[in-house]
Amino acid sequence: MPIKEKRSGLLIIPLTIILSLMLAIMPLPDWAAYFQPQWPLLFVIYWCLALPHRIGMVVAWTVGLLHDVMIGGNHFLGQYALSMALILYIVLHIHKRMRISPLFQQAITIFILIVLYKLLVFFFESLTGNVRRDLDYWLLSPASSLIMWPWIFIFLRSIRRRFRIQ
Amino acid sequence: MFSQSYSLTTRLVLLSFLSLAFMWLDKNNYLQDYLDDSFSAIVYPIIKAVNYPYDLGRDVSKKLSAPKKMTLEQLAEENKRLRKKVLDLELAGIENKNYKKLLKARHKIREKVRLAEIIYVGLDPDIKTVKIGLGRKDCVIEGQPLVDAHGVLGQVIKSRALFSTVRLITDSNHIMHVQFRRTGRQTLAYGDGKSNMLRLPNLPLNEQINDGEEIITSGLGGVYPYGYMVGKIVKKNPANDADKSKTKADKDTGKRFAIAYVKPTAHINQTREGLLVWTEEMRIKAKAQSRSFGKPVKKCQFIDKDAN
Repeated sequence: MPIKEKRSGLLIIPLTIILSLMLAIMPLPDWAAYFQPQWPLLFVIYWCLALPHRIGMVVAWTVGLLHDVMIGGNHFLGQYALSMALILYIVLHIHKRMRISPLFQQAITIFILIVLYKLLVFFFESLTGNVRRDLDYWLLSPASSLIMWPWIFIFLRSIRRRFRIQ
Repeated sequence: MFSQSYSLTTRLVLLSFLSLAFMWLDKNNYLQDYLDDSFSAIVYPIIKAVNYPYDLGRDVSKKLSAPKKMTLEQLAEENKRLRKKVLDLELAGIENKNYKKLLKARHKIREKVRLAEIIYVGLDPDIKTVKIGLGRKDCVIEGQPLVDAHGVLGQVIKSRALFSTVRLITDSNHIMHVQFRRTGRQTLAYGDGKSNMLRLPNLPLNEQINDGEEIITSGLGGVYPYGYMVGKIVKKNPANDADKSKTKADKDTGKRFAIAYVKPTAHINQTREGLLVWTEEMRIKAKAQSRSFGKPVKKCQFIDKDAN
């Protein structure tokens, strides 16, 4: 692969990921907080589907680590990093099938992946103390991620086409 | 980082080891002096940027609303009234000090406070934390209490270079030692999570507890100094969750204990600023911490001045 092509999007991809991190820490009232889609993970999954040879587990791990530091404090550093890397491991295995499936089916896959992600995060959270979680925690965020996925996909695809990132 | 030659699984294993190493280092507080500073330097601007519109809105509304509400004379009058109050308090303080000397009690009037801006409120409804814009560069140490004008807010659980995380007293993992102002009865106050209240689950059944009774810190828990306002008793908890847990607890203990709920007097979900408190022991700790930076930190000098 030519080097010139490989360098495209070095600015745009980090910018979108910073945007996703900012969305993830947006202040919300308590009742709305569970509806928060998992922005950083969704953005990284998109970039992985689009450019699987460039965006993979290492990028996901780094983004997860930044996420860790941002909301960190009552868990150990590295919890989101490892969870995101594990999800990206799955995505890298199924990305060929995901890419050709219609957006709605992709969104269902995303739902399952987000539930799995929450499970992993919950596991690492439980290492630091007992956190009580109810059904809202398990279902609302994956559901909102499912709803948001087509929009994120279309938004990022238009950015990718506009800046010709390959 | 990794070349194409590594298989996916190899990469995953390597990254897992790296993360577990991070967790272990973080658990044992080895990370603070090395990686932590650079991380928080990257993350701090992002947090500030997200909160910028909120801060702006607050400033604007302050500017619009403040001059209308009070005239100059009213302000002068209030100033006089407050000065009088301060004088009274000073007198009371001197009196109190004398009494305490008489009793040979240890007094903690040498607490040092500093205004801390709340830069980020945690999103998770189950985990009640906030972040403040003071970090280890400002001599913040772990375990320091944060209060506001009306009562106790919480304690610092993690201090990073530029900001710190504070666990609020209503967090479900937060337990503090408190006492009733009227009777002096001491008990433990558990954070109740979602309901934004505190729970006193082990009070004797024959204890008379009135609605609106004041709860203060006992100073025996090791974190909060004595005498700060915590909240007021409300018997019935409005949140459904808490009601369930109440009936369950009643059954479990065979009704040997009374349960009371405390509504915090601190403006937990409204305030944008808090006061960070340094007790005498904390100042010593903070000084030791500032030495670990190599050169003395200028912002820490205010601690030295008063300690001597």
